[in-house]
Amino acid sequence: MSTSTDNNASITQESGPSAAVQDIQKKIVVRTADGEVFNLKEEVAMEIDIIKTFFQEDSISYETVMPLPNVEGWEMVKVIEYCTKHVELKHKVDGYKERKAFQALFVQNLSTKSLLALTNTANYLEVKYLLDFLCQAVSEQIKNKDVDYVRELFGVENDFNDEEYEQVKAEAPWAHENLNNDLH
Amino acid sequence: MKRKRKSIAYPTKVGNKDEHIEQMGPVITDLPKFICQIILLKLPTCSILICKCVCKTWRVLISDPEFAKMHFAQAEAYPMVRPWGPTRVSRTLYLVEPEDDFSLAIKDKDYLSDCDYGSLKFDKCHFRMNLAKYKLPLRDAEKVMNNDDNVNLMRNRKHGTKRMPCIKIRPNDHKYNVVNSCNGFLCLSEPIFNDPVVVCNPVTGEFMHLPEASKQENQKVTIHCGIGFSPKANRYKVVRIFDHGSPHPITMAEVHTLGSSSWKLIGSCPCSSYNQLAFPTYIEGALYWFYYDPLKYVILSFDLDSENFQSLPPLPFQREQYRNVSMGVLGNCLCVCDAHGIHINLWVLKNHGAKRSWRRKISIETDHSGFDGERWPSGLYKPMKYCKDGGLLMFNYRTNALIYHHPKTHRFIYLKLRGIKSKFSAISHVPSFISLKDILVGDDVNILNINSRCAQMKLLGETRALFLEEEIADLASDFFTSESSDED
Repeated sequence: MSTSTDNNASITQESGPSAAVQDIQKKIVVRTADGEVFNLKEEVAMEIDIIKTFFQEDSISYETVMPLPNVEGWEMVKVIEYCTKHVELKHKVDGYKERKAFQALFVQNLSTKSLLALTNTANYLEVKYLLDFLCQAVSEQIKNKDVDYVRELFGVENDFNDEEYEQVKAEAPWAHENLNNDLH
Repeated sequence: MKRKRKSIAYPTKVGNKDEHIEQMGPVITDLPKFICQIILLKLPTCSILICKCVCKTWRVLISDPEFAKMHFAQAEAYPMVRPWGPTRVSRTLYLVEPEDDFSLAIKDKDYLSDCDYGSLKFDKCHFRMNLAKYKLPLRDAEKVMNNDDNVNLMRNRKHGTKRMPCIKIRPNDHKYNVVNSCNGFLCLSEPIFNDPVVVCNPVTGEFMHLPEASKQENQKVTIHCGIGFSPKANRYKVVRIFDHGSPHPITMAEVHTLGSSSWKLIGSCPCSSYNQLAFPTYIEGALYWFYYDPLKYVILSFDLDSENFQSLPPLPFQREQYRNVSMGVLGNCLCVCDAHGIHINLWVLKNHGAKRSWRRKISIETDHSGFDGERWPSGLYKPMKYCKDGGLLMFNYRTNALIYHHPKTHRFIYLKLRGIKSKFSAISHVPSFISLKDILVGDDVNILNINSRCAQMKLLGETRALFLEEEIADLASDFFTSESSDED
């Protein structure tokens, strides 16, 4: 067991010759609701404010595994993916195209329900720029769509009765014209 | 990074009938209120109006004055165009909002792989703009409703016809001028003498009548006016410039604070009765009007806090025969656009503490054939806005087109208004959900809704769809077509 202060060991301790291989980055370990364990690079973990606060405020040792009971494993994967990219692009001068391409890919295979779940998670984990991006992605899905489309997409029930609906629609009836409802 | 990667059952796109997905994730109305607010705030205005009809939770959220304040804090000004012809009554305004961030459209999305960004092909940026419809009230709606022909139309309609009856009304009786826009509120005037009579918010559909101005004996001279906001008083005010006295009338001004019951006389105004004031513009606590003297261009400025007229430094160019000069707002500055020969120059008024000066912000040489081979139409240009990517959007009056130009990349896009044959006018407008009720001084004012009464009928030509079409600004095209009488 290495006790040297120079050695930034990963939590999974190694003995023998491989102990000499220094992990340059410290790791932080979290456990999600479904029991999955993730090792995060410190610089990525620090992007997630709830983790940052947990470890820094009370100077908790990185050996502690932080529980994240409100986060599913697949959500953690996505969050790590986004934060890692964000950290990487911080150091790039002209990362605009790459960021755009990455963002398009990131949401490409997510259903609306998962997008909403991920948005909630980004809020819980306190990753502001991810929350902002996900909200933008959600709004893109309902931009210029009509009422029925929005309800169906989000699985929202119409809790207006006929009269109430006519009343609220009458406040701006012209907004309901010329909409594009194609699913793309 | 060591990370356990199980085979993750990725919930896939909408349309895939996987029951597992149905249980996953919160319903949007379960999300914390502020997240819903963020999502809604990123939508264009008409989509927000639609979301209001989705469910009760959202209706309450969007109708909340807090939401209106948040929305206004991040709102941008957009061009608002209106069909403008002497034979037509148009109560429809079209707000031109860019559809996306002009972000690059990625080609071949199906072949995206996560490691190869470099080889991705990006489509040349599509310039999509949305035209969202808003309405103005009809002037003298009572007269319209009680007109015999219309009464018959309405009566006959009750026999189950779905189509709205089409009514004919006389422009002079029922049209409003749109004078200017301030923080989402429009000042409307009657078309003959330009007397300000109504303030409305086209997004919320509310409007109110202004009290009658002080009666001036037999004045048949044009009145100049505008709506502005006084930051110190935190009040909206309408300014009215008129001629008083005979045989030598002097120009005077009076002010009405929205919600109060009368007009307050300010005093004389430093312009003469034969000056035709144009381009009323509100920006940062002051109202501006533009006019010309035989030799020079003059801008009249009225400070809404101190309720005084102020002088501005003179414009750095003389009045000339073939100059087309307009005034508007660009960024947060008053902007004068001078189109002359092969040059278009945009000058902005800069504040350096107490001193103000004109600075040439943008200079365009229109005979320069850029990589798109653009052709700049001649005529009057009005600056509209800076786009997020730094490009400039302007409206050309002669061709009824919006022109996008990026000063650095020299990208040029010509967007023509199509679908309705008419001349158009354009102003810069910030869409806002702020209610008239929240900005008035007193409680006494009757706030009406644009949609009541006259919504059940349509005007001639009203259902035509207007759209913006990206075209090549070709000299052979309809630059020279006369925009003849309006068809239905």
